[in-house]
Amino acid sequence: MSLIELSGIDKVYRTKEIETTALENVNLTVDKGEFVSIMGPSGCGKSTLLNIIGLLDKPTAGTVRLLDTDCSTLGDNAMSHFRNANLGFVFQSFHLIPSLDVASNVELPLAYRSGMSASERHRRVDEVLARLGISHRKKHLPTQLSGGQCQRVAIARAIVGRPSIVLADEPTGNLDSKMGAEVMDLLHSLNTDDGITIVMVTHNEAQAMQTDRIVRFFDGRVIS
Amino acid sequence: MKNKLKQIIYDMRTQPVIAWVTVIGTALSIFLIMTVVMMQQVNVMSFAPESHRDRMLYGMFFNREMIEGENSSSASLSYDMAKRLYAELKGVEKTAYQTLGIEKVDAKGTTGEKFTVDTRQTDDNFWEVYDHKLLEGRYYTADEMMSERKVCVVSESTARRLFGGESAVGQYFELDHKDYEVVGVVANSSIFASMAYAQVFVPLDTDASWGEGGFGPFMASLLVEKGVDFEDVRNQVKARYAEVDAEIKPEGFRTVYHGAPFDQEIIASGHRGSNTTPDTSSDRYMRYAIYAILLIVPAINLSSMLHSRLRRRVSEIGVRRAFGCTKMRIVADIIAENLIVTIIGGIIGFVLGIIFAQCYDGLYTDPTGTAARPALSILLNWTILGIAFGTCFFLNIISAAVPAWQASRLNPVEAINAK
Repeated sequence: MSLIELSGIDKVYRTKEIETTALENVNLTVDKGEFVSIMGPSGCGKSTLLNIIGLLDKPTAGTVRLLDTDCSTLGDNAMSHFRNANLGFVFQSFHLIPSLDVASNVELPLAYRSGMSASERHRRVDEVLARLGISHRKKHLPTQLSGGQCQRVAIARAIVGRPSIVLADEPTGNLDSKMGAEVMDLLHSLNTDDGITIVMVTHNEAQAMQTDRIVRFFDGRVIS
Repeated sequence: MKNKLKQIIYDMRTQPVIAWVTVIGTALSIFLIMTVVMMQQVNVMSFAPESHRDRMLYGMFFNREMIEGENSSSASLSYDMAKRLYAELKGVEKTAYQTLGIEKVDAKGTTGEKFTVDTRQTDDNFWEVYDHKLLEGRYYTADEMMSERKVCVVSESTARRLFGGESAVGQYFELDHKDYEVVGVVANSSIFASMAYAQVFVPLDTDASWGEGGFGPFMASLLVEKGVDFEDVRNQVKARYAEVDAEIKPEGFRTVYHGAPFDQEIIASGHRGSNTTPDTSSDRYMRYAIYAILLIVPAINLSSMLHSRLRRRVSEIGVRRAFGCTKMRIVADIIAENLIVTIIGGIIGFVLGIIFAQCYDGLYTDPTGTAARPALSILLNWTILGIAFGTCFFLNIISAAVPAWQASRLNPVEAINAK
């Protein structure tokens, strides 16, 4: 069953003087439980594609279907709710909120979910922090953590809402090889143990090789 | 809420200048608005001895002009004219007659100290229309007024200054080179009770007048019955003007009616012109315009401060959007955070306002220091609290709305990647 279906996706950035094509006729399907890597040189449109899958950006043409929902027809609020319920994001630069401690950062997606009690939110946060081995850092601010710990917190934040899909944009790009390997182990465990579908943008061939499938990009097009 | 507080504390640590300028700017704005409102309120709201301002009307002036020619006269009233225009009006519970202003005269008591006191002539009804607190003795009577007895009622601090620690009642002192007997002592009143205030009250001299024409030093204070429309009273007064008009017509004069008697709002607006009709609506608009300026100017500054604070949080806003925060929630969160900062500033401003009101003697007490300040309870009332809180709220909305709206419109991708 396809969880992600992209058909005929174009993305063109237009200014008064210039028109830049970031994606051209991209067709891609990702099945439930797959771990897919997207590779390609810088500027080839990998992150643009990830943003479109994540409903953070809209394609110029084409349709995006996620979990059997035609997301092209969703309004802004509906997209926000869809993201909150079904998608998790892991960024290269972690993007933790500096004013909030680890627990509050992880709790963030749940704070936007209506009908969940505070005690339930805290229970879920504690559960995911324990699973990722960072419970002892619960009250620490992001500035008090190492890069690897920051990315663990970011992953915890991405999965605390129990999303079907996690989108990771170069999740090991800012980490040393040891910490990068730990993060990759974590992502694989989420994929295999929890059945979370993962789409990861990476420049790291070795890490990509560990995933189920590699989608290669060049100049905005899928080449393999 | 907890996270919003965390964010504010973080802002104060990481952007101390902007955060503190915001708090102090808000505090000063609230302080300024509160001071203006308090100065206005103290002239409008009821407090002893003017405990019924909402039911008071004041007949202060009489105006007449030549039917042919350009000469016109306007001034306060003679006792006779005051009674002619304002006695026994329907819907009026009690009418008091008194001098329009206070007269400064010399006084000397048993202490031997000679000093200037503020005196006011009143009739006996004055003590019923106004709410002076009698501490000792009694008020003077209508008989004493008609028989021109030299008796008086003095304020508490004046009694102390005249007679030291001794009881004042029954004692005599020199007032404007005449000996007066003190029959009563009342609590000090604030100079902001401008119609009821004096340090020495003496019976009204019914003969005091300024020549012919109904002019003299007096005015009428009308305590209107509850629920009676002021316009009904004004219409009766207007009819009496018409009666006077008919009488003075053969002499070549006619009356000019300027909307008397005035209510407290007109008095508070500073309208003292005896020959103009007060325009309460334009006074009100002017007041609102001043409030608006006092709100908008700091709001623009606070808005740019918030803009600077948010510029550092663009990436965070993008991340929040990615995790499902709606645009409206972004706006609401920013406004809520800003409201907390505004309320902190508001509380500081409120405290500053109260301290200012209590400390600045020149504003709230008379130069001799014998008049009372308005009690703190007068300044700290629900209206002032409401205005301070309302000001905080509006200041927050108008300063935060634009930056919050702009932040909510950020493209999530560009926001996440913003430096």
